[in-house]
Amino acid sequence: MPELGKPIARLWAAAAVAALLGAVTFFWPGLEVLNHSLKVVAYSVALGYWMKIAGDHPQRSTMRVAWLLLAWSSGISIARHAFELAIHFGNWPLSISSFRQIPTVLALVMLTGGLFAIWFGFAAIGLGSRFRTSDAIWIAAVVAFVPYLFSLRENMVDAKSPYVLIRQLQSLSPVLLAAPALIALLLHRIEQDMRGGQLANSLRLVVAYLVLRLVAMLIMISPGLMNLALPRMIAGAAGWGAIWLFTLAAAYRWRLTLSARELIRRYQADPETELAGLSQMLLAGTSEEATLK
Amino acid sequence: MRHEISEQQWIEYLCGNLRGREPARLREHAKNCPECAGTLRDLSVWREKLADEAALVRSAFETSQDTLDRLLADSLKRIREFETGADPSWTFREAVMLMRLLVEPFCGSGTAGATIHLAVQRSTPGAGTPATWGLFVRNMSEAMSSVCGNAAGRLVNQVGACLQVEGA
Repeated sequence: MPELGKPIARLWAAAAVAALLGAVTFFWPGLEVLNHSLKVVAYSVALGYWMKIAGDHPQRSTMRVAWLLLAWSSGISIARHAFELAIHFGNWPLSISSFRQIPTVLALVMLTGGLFAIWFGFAAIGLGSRFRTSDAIWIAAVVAFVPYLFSLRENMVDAKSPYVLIRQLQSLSPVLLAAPALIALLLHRIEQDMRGGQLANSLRLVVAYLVLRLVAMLIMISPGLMNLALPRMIAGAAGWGAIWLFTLAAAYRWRLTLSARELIRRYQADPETELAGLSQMLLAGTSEEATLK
Repeated sequence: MRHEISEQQWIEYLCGNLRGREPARLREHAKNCPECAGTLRDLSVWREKLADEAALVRSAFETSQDTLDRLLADSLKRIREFETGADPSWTFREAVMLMRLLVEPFCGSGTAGATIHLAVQRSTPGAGTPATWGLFVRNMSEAMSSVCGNAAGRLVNQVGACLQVEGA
């Protein structure tokens, strides 16, 4: 395996620290400033990975488009969180701060597009296109949440912006949150159909990221939950930690490329030994089948 | 349990697994007890039926077991050939299995199966015509590149070129 063990371990540690900070921010609201700083770092790392991954795909391929859209989403999110930091330090009024909705919506649109392109890329080889009853139930559950989210849109941060455009963008949030969640279900189906492998780990993390974001958002805007300590701690941990799962998804996907390059190098150096190893695996697999029978 | 003799003991008796005086005791008891004699008769009938079914199942699997043994022997022969430095050649099917083993750690067995299925479909010129190895490798490499990236596609190409396939 190539040497991506340390970066991945560091990213997991960062995810744990971010989740912990997010959980305790209910008691120390002053920590909120770290949220945007950490997200800028996480999205920057993710952007680097997505760009490298996109570069490893053929020109005009669907998956290249998918990774580039995720890179764009990360880039716009960096701008958005940098803007949030400026709002924090500049004590800007809502008339200015509510402009954060523009990068927020753009990032969500790019993310949705990227996730859809991933699904499309896998559907082209026949994965993720056969749905089961459990998938339909989950899809119905997510769709059923949209009216509920719409009913709570007045609690959203920029719902009282003086600008009509911003208010409209904010009211789109329920749809823009539900759409990636729906695609997460499609990605989950793909990940199940893949039956293991490094790529499935990456997709699993993307799904976890999308689900945790939705959970955090639901808690933060639900009147019955937003003021309770435990739900707020859960929402904080999910909201702060989720982005690192997105970054980890990129890191795991990049590890696949590094592993493939490492194997190419080994086959170039000593193809006989590598093929002998592969045939031993074939033999072991065949023996295992024989034993099972 | 009837008359202190369980069904399990009757089964053991029928299979000849009882030791010492037990078989004689059960035999004597069955002679004098119509109820237990009935149980013994029923169990004998079921045992015969099961033996017949087992024979049928064994004969159904006979061919595939032979094939499996042959595959194992062939694989061992090839490994020995590798060890002695000889240049082995693989059947198309074995080579496809090797390619599958190669890519599974990256993309999972489901994706490996899907890309192989796609590559075989694209590499078969007409119904009943076998796929050619070179074309298969190119198509599998393309399918792998599309989902797992160029590095994975190049790996498929590289290993595909290293494998000597019969009739390729």
